[in-house]
Amino acid sequence: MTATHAPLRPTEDVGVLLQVRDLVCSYPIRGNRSFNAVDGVSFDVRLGETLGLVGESGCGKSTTGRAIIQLPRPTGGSVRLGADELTTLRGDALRTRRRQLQMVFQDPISSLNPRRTCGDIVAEPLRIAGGIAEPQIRARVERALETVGFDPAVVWDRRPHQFSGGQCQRISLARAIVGEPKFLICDEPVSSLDVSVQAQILNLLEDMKASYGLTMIFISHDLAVIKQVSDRVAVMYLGRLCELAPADALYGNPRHPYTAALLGCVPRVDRPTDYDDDALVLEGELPSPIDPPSGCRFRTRCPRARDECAQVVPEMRELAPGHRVACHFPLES
Amino acid sequence: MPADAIPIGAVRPGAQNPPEAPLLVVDRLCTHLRTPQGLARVVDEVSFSLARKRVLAVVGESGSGKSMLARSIMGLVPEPPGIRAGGRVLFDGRDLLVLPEHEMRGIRGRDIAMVFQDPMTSLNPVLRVGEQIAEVVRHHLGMDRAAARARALELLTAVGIPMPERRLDEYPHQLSGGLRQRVVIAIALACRPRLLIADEPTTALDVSIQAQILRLLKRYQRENDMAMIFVSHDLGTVAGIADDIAVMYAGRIVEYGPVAQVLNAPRMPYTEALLRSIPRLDAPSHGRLDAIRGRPPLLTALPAGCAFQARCRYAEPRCATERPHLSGAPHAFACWFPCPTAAARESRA
Repeated sequence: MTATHAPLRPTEDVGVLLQVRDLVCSYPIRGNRSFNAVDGVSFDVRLGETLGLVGESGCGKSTTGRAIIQLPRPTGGSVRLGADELTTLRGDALRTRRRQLQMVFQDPISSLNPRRTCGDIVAEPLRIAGGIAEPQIRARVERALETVGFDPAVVWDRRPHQFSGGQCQRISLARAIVGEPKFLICDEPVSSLDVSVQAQILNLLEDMKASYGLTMIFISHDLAVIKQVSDRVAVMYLGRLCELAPADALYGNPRHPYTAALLGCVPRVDRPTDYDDDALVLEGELPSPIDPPSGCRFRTRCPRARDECAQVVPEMRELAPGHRVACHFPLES
Repeated sequence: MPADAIPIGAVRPGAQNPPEAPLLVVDRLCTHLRTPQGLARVVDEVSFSLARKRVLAVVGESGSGKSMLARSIMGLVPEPPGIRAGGRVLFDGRDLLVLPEHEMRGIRGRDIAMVFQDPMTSLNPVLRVGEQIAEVVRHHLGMDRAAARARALELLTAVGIPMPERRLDEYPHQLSGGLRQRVVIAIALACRPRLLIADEPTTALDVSIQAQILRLLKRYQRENDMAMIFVSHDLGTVAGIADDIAVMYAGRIVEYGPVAQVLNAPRMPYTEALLRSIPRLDAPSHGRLDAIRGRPPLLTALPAGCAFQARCRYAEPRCATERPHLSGAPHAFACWFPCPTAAARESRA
């Protein structure tokens, strides 16, 4: 850790590294209106854990990830990293904190500058941070490249087009960890990769987490991938959290009807889908996030919906230790 | 026809196959692409046959040749850079590869229809949905305007589009991804094809919409006795929809057989490795995934032996020099040192 990194101070909540409260991300749309891509989301990420964020398109999972690194800044709510409130920090103060927070994106090829060499791409965060001598930069870049499974001498002068998609994603990972961040946000990092390469990257993420002591948010639409990497999982639907629980509890005993329906839709090799069984298919289209249903946003597709669901927004409540659900009529445990 | 030309799938003891000839026979089909790096063998001596009413899944990773196989069957590989390098595609006994283009046009969209991955690029953005469906039935079935519109409405209803009357006059951009794919399917089914080739039809869709589309395809297929080739990278999807499965690697079929048999007891090490590398819902978190080391070979420089040999955990010296051929029925595989059979696995356990 270099002097340019502000040390993390423990919060009152011992063991919580990131605290997100009532996060709102609003975007203006035509007709002087706005819509909330993320609408009042709260969760904690504990030191050293991986929180999985899962949901279908338009649920706000990527927007949540970007709002945490303040790109763009959320419209409302609070994001605390250690003792620092990121939403009110500006300029250099935000930049130094942000070094502890890194992000990896879905498309590994477009997130790398095609004209730079691999070595330069990975070294850039350190050069921008400043105050590190070139030989030390070289040493740290080499370590990062080795961590992601490259021989630095071989790949140093290559450019992105000389790498496959999976290898480009490794370079993105090396660039994200070279500054030794505390927190890594991965936004669909394996979604554009073939399963055999996906497995390599997922294994690598676990190794990196151990060797760099990372805390992570892992965003994906793929429930099986989320299960693989996460300690706890948060399910989102149309900008809100539905359910948040330890991975085993959420997959083994989903309490929100949406979580259960989503799990039922996943095509599985070990349990082939019977397309004569309508119970396995979640009916209807995703409503527009611009004009979401009143009350519970899932009610238009929910088999358990009653009148109350249209009128009252369900709050997140704890049904079992660590198992929180936003539903008026949750499934039995 | 040589004895090995109809290799697999045609006769399946115990299965309820109709006694008549298969609907589609692909016989040593080769498609090459001219690339700056040399000739790429994207489809390399692929043979299989497909009976009426059956669903064959073609699975593989990017670059395995599964989409090129689908396009080659339809005669949709642009030439150049594509080269028809040999083989036959017999549909109902007629070789599609030697058919003049105007006759092929009468078959495409009518007897054989295709659904692609991206519904936005398969639809014409400046044409109303109703017109795009009507176009097909007017062209192929010679319906007049009013009859074609009525048929379009019927099809939109059949593929489960809510408020179909209104949707007829909408443009593709006004529909969600799931509805667009339903429109594409409606167009494909417009002339009641006998064979539907679906190339990753649900890959771009959310998981809940994906399940709806798969149910739609499966039910239509069964109710209308349609045959289907379902191209996918997702083994989980295939498990629920297909009767048979062909696993492709580096332009070739490396394993073929009844879907449950291949997925539950793969014999080809590549299929086994692929299955092991998938994260599973029923596995505990943070387990180690069994990744496949290395990368597929370049199709411009295929090795002499088995194409998977360099990445295979069971490879022996013979694998590097001699190419294994697909053999066995009903479960066929191309491997010198196959994984143990289900029975052998059980007795060992």
